[in-house]
Amino acid sequence: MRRILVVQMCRLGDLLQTTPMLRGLRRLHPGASITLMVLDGFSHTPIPRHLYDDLAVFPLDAAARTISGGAEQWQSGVTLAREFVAGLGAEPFDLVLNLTNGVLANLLCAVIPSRQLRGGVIAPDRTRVVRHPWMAYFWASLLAREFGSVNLVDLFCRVAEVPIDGEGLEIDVPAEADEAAARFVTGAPLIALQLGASDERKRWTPEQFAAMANRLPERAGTIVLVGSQGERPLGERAAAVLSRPIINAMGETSVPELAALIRQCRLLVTNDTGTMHIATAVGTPVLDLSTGPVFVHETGPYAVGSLAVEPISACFPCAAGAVCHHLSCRDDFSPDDIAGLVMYALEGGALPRPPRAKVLQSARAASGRLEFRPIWDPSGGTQEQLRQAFGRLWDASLGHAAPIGAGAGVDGPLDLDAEPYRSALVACAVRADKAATLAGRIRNASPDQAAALSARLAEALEREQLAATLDPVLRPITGYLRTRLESLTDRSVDDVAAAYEREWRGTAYRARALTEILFSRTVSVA
Amino acid sequence: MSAVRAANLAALTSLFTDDAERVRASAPGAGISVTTATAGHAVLDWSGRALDSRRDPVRAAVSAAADVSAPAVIVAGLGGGYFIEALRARGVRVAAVVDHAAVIDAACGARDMTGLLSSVPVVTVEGLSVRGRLSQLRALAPVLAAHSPSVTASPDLQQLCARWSDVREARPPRVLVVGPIAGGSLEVARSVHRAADRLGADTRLFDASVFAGTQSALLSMGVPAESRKYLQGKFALLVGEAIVEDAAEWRPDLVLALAQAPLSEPSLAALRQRGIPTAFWFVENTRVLPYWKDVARHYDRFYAIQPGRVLDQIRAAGATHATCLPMAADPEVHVAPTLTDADHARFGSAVSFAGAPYLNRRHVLAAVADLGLKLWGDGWEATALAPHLAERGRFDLETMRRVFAATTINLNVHSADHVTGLDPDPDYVNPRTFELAMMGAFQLVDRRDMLPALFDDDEMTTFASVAEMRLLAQHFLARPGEAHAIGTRAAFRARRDHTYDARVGVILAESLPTHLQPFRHPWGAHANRTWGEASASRSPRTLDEALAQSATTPSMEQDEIYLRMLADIRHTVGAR
Repeated sequence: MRRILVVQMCRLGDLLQTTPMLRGLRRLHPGASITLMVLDGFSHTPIPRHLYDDLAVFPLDAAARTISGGAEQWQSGVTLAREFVAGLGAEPFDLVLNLTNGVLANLLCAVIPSRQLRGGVIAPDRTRVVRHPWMAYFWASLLAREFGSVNLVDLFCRVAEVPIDGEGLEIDVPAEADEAAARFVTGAPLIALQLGASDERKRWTPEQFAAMANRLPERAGTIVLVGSQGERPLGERAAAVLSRPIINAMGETSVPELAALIRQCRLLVTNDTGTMHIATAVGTPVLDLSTGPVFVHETGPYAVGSLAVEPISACFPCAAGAVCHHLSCRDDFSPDDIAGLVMYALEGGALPRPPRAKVLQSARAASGRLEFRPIWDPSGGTQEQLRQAFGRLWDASLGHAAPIGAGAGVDGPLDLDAEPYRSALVACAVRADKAATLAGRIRNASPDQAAALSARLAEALEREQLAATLDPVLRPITGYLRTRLESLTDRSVDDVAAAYEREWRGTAYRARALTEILFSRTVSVA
Repeated sequence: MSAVRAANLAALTSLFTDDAERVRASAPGAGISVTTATAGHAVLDWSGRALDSRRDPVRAAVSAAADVSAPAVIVAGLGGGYFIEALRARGVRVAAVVDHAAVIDAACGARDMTGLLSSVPVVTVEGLSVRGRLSQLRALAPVLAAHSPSVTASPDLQQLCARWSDVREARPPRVLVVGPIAGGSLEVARSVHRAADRLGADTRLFDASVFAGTQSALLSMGVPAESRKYLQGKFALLVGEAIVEDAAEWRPDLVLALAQAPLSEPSLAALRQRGIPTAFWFVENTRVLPYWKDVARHYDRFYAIQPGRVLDQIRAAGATHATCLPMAADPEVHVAPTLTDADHARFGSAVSFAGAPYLNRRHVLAAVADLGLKLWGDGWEATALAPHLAERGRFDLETMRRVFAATTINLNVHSADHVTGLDPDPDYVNPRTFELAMMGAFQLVDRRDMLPALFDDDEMTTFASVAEMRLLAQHFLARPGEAHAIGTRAAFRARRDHTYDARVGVILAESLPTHLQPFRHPWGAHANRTWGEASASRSPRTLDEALAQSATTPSMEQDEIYLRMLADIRHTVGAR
């Protein structure tokens, strides 16, 4: 492996979440040159230099200006994009890892020459195909989020086929950043509050933060507000309610200086933001407030022992692009609730039990993945248990490198009545086996027979999707199957038939494996 | 490239996209040069032959144009454009045929012709070689005026002049629209008929509603149910035969049927036997009306309002071409009325719902009963929501428009008779969604899988649960201005993307051969249109035009990939 391209065109937090994967690639392919592709707006994210060799910065802002400049100027935007791709070199990459859930990245992967691509790409027929089982899981999980169970950090490692090492995120904090952050450090213990977030739905209100801070005893520490210059109005709103002295560092720090300051804090209370991942990278404990589209099981702070709070509103989590006019899930946990959890995080003791919110804490699963497990769940439902079961299913069925170092954990017993799911899963396995048999028969069939068998296979998929509507426990399995079938690019009838047979057999295996997991028996790897 | 050439090429209009591209991509022709006439004007010289007067091309052109008396002509030859300019100065409408793209290229570099090129479509002889195009050109104007120097220099133009009188004028396609005898699709059929006409087709509506009285009489006969069923079947066959006879006489190029059109298997087989293509737009929920399974294989094209596995089922039923085509609204019909005080008094409400009391609606709407709910329709009087019934009955469009316009929040709950909550199969969008949007009336609609592709979040407000519906209703009752703004944005979007013209355009583009595509005649039924509007295409000036043109290739080329990148960047940055 000589050239590897990692396409990570998301935000600061996503870049930090990619660092364990980069570390794993370095170990697995010590002689390879790693190019990291990022957007211009986040090219200054302090990713440690030893994790990559080249930085390819896509000129998003410059291209956007050409479009907004006038009707004909878009042609210079096209030129910018072409020149960027040409600048990557004519020699194909040995491996391209597209970690970005977005159209632009998928289009770029369609034109960047590569020998092996994992992730999304736009095919010549203009459809999106997804390559690699773990990326298929990721895309399918977006449609069945209630069962989502794999943290992005671990997902990236799975896609790159590198072991999870349990060493956490990395960030570069130069000495001068420590010196600059020192001006905020008074010697008293500090609790940082991150008020902002990129989306209003993800944001507990500044007033709620302030009310929470007012309830903390003095011994908890001095409150320091962190965030960007653009978030300063939020700090002003909080300051109007706060009744204790604070340190306002909002807009006063660069990203490295913010990291240095957070490193001095005993706790960060935060919305789901890049700051949260910075805290995790520098080893500061985190209390993550999840609202709106945030799903801690996907993007929670990647460190063992992290705390997270989730509302139990029926519409949570909402879809990524949904517009919400009521934001009611933010009220599911009160300032009292969070103040109690802050003290629990700092001093231990009795766990607060918010009546309308779950409290989760992260721990390692046996496979090495980081899971957020409920330590308090007023909904009393089986959702969390099912989520853990699915996590084990995907580990078993999609395969993974064994964890190394501090990567391994323990899978506790599941505590749910799985009987309601048995018949649906058994029936799914039977149907899937039949469909696999049908697909196998296509290879020796005449054209007319093959057409008839294909029609029956289409009906089989349709029945499976209908079954998933009636039995939601099947949705992740069916969604994965569909994503895989939609992404087939085999050309010959025999190859397509073989692929179909393989995927249907896999579905049958997963249905049986989930049954075994739910009834606590050992699962054999597919 | 000189500024003059760039401006001219940018202004260039053409009747055919690929022809315009050919011109823009052409290289300068060998043997074509630009000289200066005695009077100072630029003159093209082609292998020693001047394409205009070497002394005074303007005066010569005016003199030649005086011999042309027709109100609209096709000019064979461009030269330096002086002849065409002289014709236009006399009020003559003009389209030009040019021998070679290189001639246009040279002319574009010779002098400023932006005024001419932006309003006179130019086609090349090569562009006319595509089947049907010569007939379409002929349909624009019967008279061909020769630009003598160009014709003298060009054997191809000479040949065009020689055969011009033998060219058959293209005719618009004939489309027979068949609606149901009764039911919601009846109005859809009428809207489809109007849309096809606006698109330039010669369209006829088989209005089966004239048989509604007979059907009603048969339904109410005091005979056993089996006998009634037998008679209804016979009656349907008879109406179907009438449709076939109508088609046999008129010879449409396409029979376009709407859901519940009285076309049974024998009638469809008869149409097929007569070589008449058919298309079916099933504008109903396939799960509710399953009769489509019997007729699917008899239609040449099947359009459904549900995608995914529904289309798979339709194909499994034998349809060879099945596509998803969402509903739409009619901008001529779904128009917001001007409300009087009396209208406000009668129809005004905070929250209203108009429609039938399906099981799920009876339960869902109860959640907002205390918010000033008003109900319109038959059957509510027998439900627990009876106190909220404003008026019962079946209302005409005029009444419904007033109800929608006078309501702050129109609730749009897709029907389901087997659950008490929201429809668990959200795979289609009902016509009400589009009609309310077209009218600019604010609605709260239950979440549907396809909606995000049809309307953006700031154009359409959806709910995923009854609790969310109530929260949203409370939010917007407190902020009517915000609701109004969303409704206005929805109206813009509906007018741009969700008209029956757009949908019928898709059906005709896919169902009709190239030479029978509707071609808007600028001097026929829609004579108030300028020639510029009637021009079918020009080279892409905007990113959207470039995308639309590039997306016509069977597979995605590199150019299109980069265009799509820019479009995504525009979307992403715009959403920030």
